[in-house]
Amino acid sequence: MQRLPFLLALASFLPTAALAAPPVTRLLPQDALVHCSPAAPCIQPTQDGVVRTLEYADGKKFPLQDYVNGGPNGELFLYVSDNASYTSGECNVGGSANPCHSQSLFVGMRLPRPRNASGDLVGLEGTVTLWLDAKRDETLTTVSGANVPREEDRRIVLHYSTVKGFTTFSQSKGGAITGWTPVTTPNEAWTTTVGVMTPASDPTHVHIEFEIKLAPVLPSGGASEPLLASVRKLGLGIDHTPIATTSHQTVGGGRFPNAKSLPPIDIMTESWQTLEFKDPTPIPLSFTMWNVGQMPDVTAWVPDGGSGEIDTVAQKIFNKEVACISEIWMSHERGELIERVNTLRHDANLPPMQAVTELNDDPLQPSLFSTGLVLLSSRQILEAGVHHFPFGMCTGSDCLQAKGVLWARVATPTATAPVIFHDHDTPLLATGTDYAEFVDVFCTHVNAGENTSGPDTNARELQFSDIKAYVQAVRQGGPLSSPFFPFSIEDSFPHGTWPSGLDRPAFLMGDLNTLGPKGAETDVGFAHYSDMMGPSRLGISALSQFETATTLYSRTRDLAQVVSGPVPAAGGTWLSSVCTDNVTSELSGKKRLDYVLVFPAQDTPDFPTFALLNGSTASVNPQFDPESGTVDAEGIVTQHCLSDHAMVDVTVKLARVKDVAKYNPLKKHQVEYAVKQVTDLETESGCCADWYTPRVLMTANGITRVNAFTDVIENQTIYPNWKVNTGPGNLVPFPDLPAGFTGTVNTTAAIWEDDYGPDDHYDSTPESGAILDMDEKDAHFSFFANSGVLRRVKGELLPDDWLTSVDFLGSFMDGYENGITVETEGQDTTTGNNARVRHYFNVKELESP
Amino acid sequence: MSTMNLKCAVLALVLGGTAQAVEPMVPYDNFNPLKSNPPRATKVRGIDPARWEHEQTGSRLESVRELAFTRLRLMSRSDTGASRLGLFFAQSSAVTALSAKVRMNNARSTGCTTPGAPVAQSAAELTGHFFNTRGATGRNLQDDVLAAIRTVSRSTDPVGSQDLRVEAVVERCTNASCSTRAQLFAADLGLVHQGEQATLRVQWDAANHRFVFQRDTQPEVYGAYTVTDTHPPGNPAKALLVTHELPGCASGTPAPLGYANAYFHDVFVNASAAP
Repeated sequence: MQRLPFLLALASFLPTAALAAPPVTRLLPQDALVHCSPAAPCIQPTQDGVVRTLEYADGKKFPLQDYVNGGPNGELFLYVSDNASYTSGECNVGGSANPCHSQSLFVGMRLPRPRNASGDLVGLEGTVTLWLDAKRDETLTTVSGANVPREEDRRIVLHYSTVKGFTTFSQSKGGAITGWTPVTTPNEAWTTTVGVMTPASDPTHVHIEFEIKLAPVLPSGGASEPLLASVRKLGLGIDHTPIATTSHQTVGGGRFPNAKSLPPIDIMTESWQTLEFKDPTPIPLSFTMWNVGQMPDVTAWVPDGGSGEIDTVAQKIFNKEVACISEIWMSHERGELIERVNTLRHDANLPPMQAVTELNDDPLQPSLFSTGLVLLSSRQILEAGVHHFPFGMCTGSDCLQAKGVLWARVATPTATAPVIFHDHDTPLLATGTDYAEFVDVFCTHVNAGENTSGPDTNARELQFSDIKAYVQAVRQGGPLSSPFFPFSIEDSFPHGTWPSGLDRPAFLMGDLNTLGPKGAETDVGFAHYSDMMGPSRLGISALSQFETATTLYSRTRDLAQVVSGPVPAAGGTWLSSVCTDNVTSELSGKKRLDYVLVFPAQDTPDFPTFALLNGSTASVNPQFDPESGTVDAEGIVTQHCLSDHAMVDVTVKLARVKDVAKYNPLKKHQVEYAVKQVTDLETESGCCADWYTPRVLMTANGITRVNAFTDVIENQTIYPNWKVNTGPGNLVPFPDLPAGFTGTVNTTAAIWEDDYGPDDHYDSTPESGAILDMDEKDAHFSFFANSGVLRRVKGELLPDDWLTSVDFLGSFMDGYENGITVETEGQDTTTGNNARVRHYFNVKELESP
Repeated sequence: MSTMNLKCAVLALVLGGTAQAVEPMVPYDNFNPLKSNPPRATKVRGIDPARWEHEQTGSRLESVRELAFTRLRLMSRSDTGASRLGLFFAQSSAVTALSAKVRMNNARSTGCTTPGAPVAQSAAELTGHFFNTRGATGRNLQDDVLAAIRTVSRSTDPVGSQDLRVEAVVERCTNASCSTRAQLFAADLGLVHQGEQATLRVQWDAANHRFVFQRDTQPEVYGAYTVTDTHPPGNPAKALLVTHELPGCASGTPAPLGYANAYFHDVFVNASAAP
């Protein structure tokens, strides 16, 4: 049998979805004309065999996972330079190779080295194969014959051994009946250089680095098209296969595209990944900051900041994406705002907003004893918390309040992008939310008073330092350090730990009561602003190593300093209590107190997972009450403002710069299940449920673990992080899943409310009619380790109920690097005791020894 | 100040309130279905029909009567005449005293532009008909005596002012529909800022032939009367209301406007009217 027909026949057994739609990665080439200049030089990988991570900062990073042998993961970096040539002094300034090379694809690989029986590192030996599909559009549009390698396509094979010290590579072209034939003339080859190193600076890895010229001179009719303006695509497959030996581990395998069941196939161009040479896929988000100027109740001596009421405020914000609202001091007003917003959204056929705020029904609690903040999100909130500034960190009447900061981990649009899973050729839409796709958002309101040097500013600056510490604590994934006498029990939630968000930008919205520059103004003259941004306060002014190395991503920290439109300095937000509709033309003369700031990803010599694209927009908009108009003697109607602060609206676009790792059954895994959020759906109004759970259960590998969290938490919505997990932290050993585990993991949780009479077992599942109370009310989940699939299942009355799917949430083979989360809602019409519950499940790969 | 200390201080403030002149006050409804005070045997969604009935007279442009999180919200906007919107107690006859936390979140009253035109007013009220001076016949309200404690906005308030006035009044109906009244007592209980919460109480002290009014922890104010108070009223209703009294303006001139958006919660009544 000829190899090609045989493999094509073999390919017919592969899931059709993979071949119908090859995976796509956008990779914007570094363009010397656009991105580089002597004043702002670029960095390009130096083809010396050493893969220095940040040399690829204008590229993208991918994991290399060995689905055959297991073991530690490697890393793959891709970078492309565009057509324009580099001039001296605008790229790799001071480096060993200057100028840089245009029209080149750089491939960098960091491959883990194996260890021998003594645990010592030994050399690596193997084969790297690169497949290059030149006319990618013809493959994607299924032009006849383009599904196999053709004459314009290339295969580069590298055999190497750091043990024996050899490196050989060859290049073939497609078009032969057997798939590939060696190139016969130098003109046929895509100019390639390769280096293999074990750098002293990274003794645990072997580095391999390719540079491939992407615009080769080919025979007539065979022109390569990757960088043609009309195409700008390339098919790329990569495989690294380590040579197995009996004397040491076999580790370091990996592939691109990174899929366990669909490796790149030698003679199937559709099995390779498509690189699109264009801007990274943007992930749009918008943020709104508004101090609504409500000063009711015991601060009656303070003039109301405007005529805004819950109705008019809700009307202005109900269709926002993420909004930070400040100065709603009373619990019942915050609760009513959330109700009103969601009534408006219901009327507009929009899903409800989720919220973070402090709600209580404690009659003895002073109404002002809160942050006065409400953080609303039309996107799912995966985690959340409330933090109050320490006692005494305030001046004057601010000490009657309890200012602080709210945190919400908000799912981005990509978290809920449709994912189709082929379950035995039956397409299923995964209903889970991808927990890897989020940003952390903070909402604050700091000490008021004078903006000049003095006690008010001193207190404010201490609060900035406190914000920085809290932001760091939650972004890193906890745990929250509980002070001996916490300000509020709410400040200690979520309990435990959660996935880190330090690998991406975060956003701080707030009335920071600090005068900031507008438009082109520099920080000069805004000393307290500089202090606020500087290292001892918020600590966001310095550029990270990645930001220094890249030319493609935004370095902006203060997103509304420059507003979009004809007057970039029209960003003043403090309108004063005497505010009328002519204020719109006066914004450039107003003080700027309200901000949307960026916390960059943690500064490391590595790629972040997400970066902020250039091109954010900002606007500052006073909000008017059309019914508050007054008429002067000449009959001219003047509108008044809803608030003495203008609303700040910002849009941003994120991009993923590091691809996700996927589930590899050959690795050891820690499994975690948690209840992340509980919302009371029981009543049309009222406050607040007293939540607890007697049962968060996991069964794995024949062992069952049940955790109870019986301390009551009061709120309409709580973010408790009640969890159970394998591995450390269990009083009784509850082992992690071993490598090669093929069984199931079962989980469930019960949601209860403490009540006057008998406590209420809340319903959190949409199904009904079960015999067992737990099956009737509690959601149940099963993880199938051999396939990586997570399903919501029927229940636990019968063993088979754990295997009976009622909802497909997703497959960890498709990614879900930080876990899958899903909401379930109860439907108990008899008692009305219904909750919406956010469940979280993760299989976390543990590093192999 | 720690949370605990502050709570203790507030508790002392609550418990240290003025002594009740007559019957003790007990909780009637806090408008919080989830944590009802007094507790209910079963949870009730929305406004409890066993405790409240709708009150609505006159015409209005817009109105809201709903449970808003943990409070009753009454909102009314009108451009004509007299109107009332709210809830009256289902067992009003037993109610001789009522108190509630009242917050007039926003109110505006615009009168006629004609010089000397009558004043426009909008109010949030705790009110009721308590007795009749001569013995009512059927639903004839003439000579019903009503008492109210209210937060009022008037068209004569200074332009741009965010201050409202708290008042206590005792009035006698002078016609069968009670659309005209004679004032028996009035007291000014001071200014309240828009959005500021005030605890208001009105209580009939029949033994002493007076009404007792109180705002927050201020000293009680007594509205004494000299009319006969032994006959039941024509309409025994006691209610939480927003009201408008708007003048008729000359043709061709702008219409008056009344707007009131008020919140009520923690309603208490005399013990014998407990639900």
